[in-house]
Amino acid sequence: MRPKFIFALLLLAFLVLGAALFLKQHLENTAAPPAGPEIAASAPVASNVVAIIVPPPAPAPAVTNVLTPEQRQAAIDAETDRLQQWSMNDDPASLSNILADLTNPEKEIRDAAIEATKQFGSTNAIPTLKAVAANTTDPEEQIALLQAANFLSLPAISDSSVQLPKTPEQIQAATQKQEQRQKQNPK
Amino acid sequence: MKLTKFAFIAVVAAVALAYNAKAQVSFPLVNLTISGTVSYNAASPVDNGTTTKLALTKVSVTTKWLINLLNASPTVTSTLMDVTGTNQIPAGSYFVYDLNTNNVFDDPNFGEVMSLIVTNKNGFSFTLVGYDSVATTNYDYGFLNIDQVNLIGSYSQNDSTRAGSESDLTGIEFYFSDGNGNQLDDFGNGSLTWSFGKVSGGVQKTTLSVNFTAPNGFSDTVNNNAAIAQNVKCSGKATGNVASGVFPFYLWWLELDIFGY
Repeated sequence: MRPKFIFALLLLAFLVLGAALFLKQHLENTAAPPAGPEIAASAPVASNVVAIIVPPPAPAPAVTNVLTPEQRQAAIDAETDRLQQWSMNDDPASLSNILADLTNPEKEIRDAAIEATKQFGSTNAIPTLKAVAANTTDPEEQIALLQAANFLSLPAISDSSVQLPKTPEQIQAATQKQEQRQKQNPK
Repeated sequence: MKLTKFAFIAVVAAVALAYNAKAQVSFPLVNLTISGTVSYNAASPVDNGTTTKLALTKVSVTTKWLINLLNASPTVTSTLMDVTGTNQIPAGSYFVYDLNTNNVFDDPNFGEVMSLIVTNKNGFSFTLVGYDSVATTNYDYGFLNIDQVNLIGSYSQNDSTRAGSESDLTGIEFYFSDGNGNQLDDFGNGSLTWSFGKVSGGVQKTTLSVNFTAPNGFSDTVNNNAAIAQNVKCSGKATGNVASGVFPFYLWWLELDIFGY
């Protein structure tokens, strides 16, 4: 009787342990940042020259009427993730992919592509943004495209990191501050 | 006798593990895109003999450039080495927003500090607020907080499945510093948009979209020059399993009672 009880208890313990481990692993997977596909694998190869012409509609994602709303949303989310990853790269192929999505049939993807263009930070994208804006009927999207073009025309902080000479007034003020600090902390 | 004791301990351990797994259910990490502009006086006035002129310099801020600033800062790279074992954030890294409230700092205005994490697909992870155990000091290179008090929301929830959707509005503070003369400390507001699936196994599949805007600069510097940031935007979306009972989020959040009111 006693061995049977012990065996049953042990079995229960392993079952609970197994369930706990499974649940833990499952939850860790869901909490992790969404994993994107390998960029190089899905990136269509493009020339190093960024096209000024409005790019053709993007080949991905395959959003058709056959898809359920959940599948459609999943496809949109996947492409949005890819756009975000491409935006962090510096290669022409990534920029080409981003620009292609500016004319994607899905508005959510087009919006993400505009943001990705800003994040990519290449002035090469400006002509395409302006060209797409010229062919867009949605006034809000047109504004967003032109704002993105303006944004890209600005230098980034790192571009302007050269320290410029200070004015005589700035030098005098800095000297005064230093003298004051020395008086307060004679060490 | 010994076997019985062992079995009992095993059961207790298994139950504890199961409980721990449930406790780890957390908000999904949101891949964040950050953009904006900053204006400042970069140059000295120019006098052409008749007129003296000084123009503002306006620069763009993007996620990529913020990471570049972190990599260019001796202060940050020293912390990076201590915390991650590398002194550079790898190319292709990005920011994620961690809404979970388990961080080392408390902000006097906003309560718990929400983490910004720089990460990538290859396992690199650097939380911008934390403790450097080598230098034995806290460090703070950035965070994104939602207001604990001024958080309001609207929602629709199915009474039986508890699935539904929610839209919250809140005040936010975005802070970034490279410890090297570049800082953004901006306040604004924004939205958290939630979609909750039906409760299953104590969790709900949850999609969270954040869209924050800090329209006005508060305490910004570029290369140690006073600066004004404009329209700093942080946005992103994530999906994950969240413990049931969080929906509606804005009520759950207020009940956390971070300030002890």
